[in-house]
Amino acid sequence: MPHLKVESLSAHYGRVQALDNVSLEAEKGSIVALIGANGAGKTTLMMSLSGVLTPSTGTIEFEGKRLERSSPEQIVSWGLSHCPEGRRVWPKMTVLENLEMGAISVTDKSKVAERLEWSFSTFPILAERRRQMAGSLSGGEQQMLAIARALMPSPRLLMLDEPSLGLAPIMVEKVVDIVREIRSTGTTVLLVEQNAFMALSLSDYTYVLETGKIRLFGPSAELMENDEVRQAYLGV
Amino acid sequence: MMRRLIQALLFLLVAAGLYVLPRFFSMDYYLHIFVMSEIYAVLALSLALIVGFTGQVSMGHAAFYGMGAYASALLSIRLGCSFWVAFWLSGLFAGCVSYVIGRLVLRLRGHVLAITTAFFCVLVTVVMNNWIAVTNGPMGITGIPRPSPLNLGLVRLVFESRVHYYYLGLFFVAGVLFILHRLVRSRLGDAMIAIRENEELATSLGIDAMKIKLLAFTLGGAIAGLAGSFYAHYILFISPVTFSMNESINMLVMIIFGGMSTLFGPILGAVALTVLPEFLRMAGEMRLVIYGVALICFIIWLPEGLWGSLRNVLLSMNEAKRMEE
Ligand SMILES: Nc1ncnc2c1ncn2[C@@H]1O[C@H](COP(=O)(O)OP(=O)(O)OP(=O)(O)O)[C@@H](O)[C@H]1O
Ligand SMILES: [Mg+2]
Repeated sequence: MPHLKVESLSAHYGRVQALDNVSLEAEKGSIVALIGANGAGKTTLMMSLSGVLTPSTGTIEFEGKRLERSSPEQIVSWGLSHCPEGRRVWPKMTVLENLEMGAISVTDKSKVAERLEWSFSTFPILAERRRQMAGSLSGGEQQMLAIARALMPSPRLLMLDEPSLGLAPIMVEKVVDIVREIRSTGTTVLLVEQNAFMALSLSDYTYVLETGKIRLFGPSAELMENDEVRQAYLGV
Repeated sequence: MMRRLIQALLFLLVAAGLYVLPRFFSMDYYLHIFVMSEIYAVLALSLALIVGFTGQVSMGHAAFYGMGAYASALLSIRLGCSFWVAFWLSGLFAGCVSYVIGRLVLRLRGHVLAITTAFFCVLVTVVMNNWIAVTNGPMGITGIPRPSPLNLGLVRLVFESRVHYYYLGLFFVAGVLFILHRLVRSRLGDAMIAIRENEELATSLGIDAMKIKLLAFTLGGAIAGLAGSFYAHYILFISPVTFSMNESINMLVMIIFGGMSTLFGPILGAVALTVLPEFLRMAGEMRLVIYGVALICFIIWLPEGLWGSLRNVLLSMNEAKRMEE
């Protein structure tokens, strides 16, 4: 049984349909990438998975539980965590406060301390800046913080929405390393990317989304050789 | 340890100061200003919970204040409830109404929310003015009874004089301050700030924004209702004009002035803006102009209010000292 299974999911903003019959699966411990042009519906799919948006039809199954009608805090407590796109940190809170906020669904205090410890050892830069306002971090550091925060509740599935957006190549490398490290702990990663090359080379499996529909899918290594993908997304 | 001791001493000093205050200002005129300051402190605190901590701009706070006052007056006059029962019931009533209203309006954001709550406030005033059978319309309700005497062991409050209202008011402010302090220091308080700073982000991390906003709105409304009850049984007369939109704006001005994302700020703002207008009385019509100009200056130069800005200065001085060491 796949770790995450989405079947015929549709979502709307008012009358505008943003997702049309999307089905997708992710095996436990795999990295699954989702690529597509602007407005394809990638963010909408992630928001439906994390419960921020209620899909109009279709089902979402995670570890045997149905999620499509659940609230975001339930979903987080069941082990699915979301690192959203856009303004990702609370700029007027410190690094530490941002991290603590990520663990707001965790009631066990010692568990929170343990996770903080883990974050600081995995992201040493955050340990150095723990008392600094998150808004004063560089773009790359803010991205690290956002990822670390999404990992605070020890999720078994992590969703990253465009983690490489606006980062210098060296920082993109760093994000890649971190995603690999997260996977090595057995966590499933669902990755949305505009940077198709990075997404295809990092992931095991890739879905291509086009105007709300799944256009193509397959093992990333195969899609990398696919002419359509090469032309439209890799520009070669 | 040292810090704890200083804090305890400071607390005792403030408590003693507040206790002896009426000895030095025993004229009814002063006492009235003090009691009104207490009522406004409670109102400003409860509004700050909604606007300052949770970031939901409400221009309808006076409506809950008014509903508490009317509920309490009617309960005691029509049903013969004692103040001590009517007080809690009117808080409960205002809380229930604010829960229902919150459910309806808290989906809205920013200025749309502000305008909708303002509209609600106007609506409540219209009802107070026109539902004459119950509210007696613009004439208002007279003959509200004073609270029955209260035995507190050492002291006995009989509410014949304003001093006794002043002391009861102190307990009222302290109680509200205590509850809100506990709340904003808790995880719920953190969630409120997370929502104020970025609601989408908060939601995506699994914070139920609607639930938290509703909690702040309901609790804020309930506390305003309690303040309304206290007011009704202090002034002994209520009428719709007291609870108009102007009053909502007045409360907003208080928290903007004092600083709304702390708990001390709203108290400072409430006291300052209750006492200052008395001094400005001699300025006559110019008073409103002075008020307006001061408010604009605050929004531009001290967006975190008097206390918020002062605190920032103190914090950065502290930081600088730590750096030197
Ligand atoms: N809040 C909204 N209200 C109305 N329409 C929206 C809203 N958010 C997104 N849409 C529409 O839904 C469609 C999918 O948007 P979505 O944000 O999911 O795309 P995306 O693939 O994440 O794009 P990008 O790569 O630019 O982030 C777009 O046509 C967009 O205009
Ligand atoms: Mg997107």
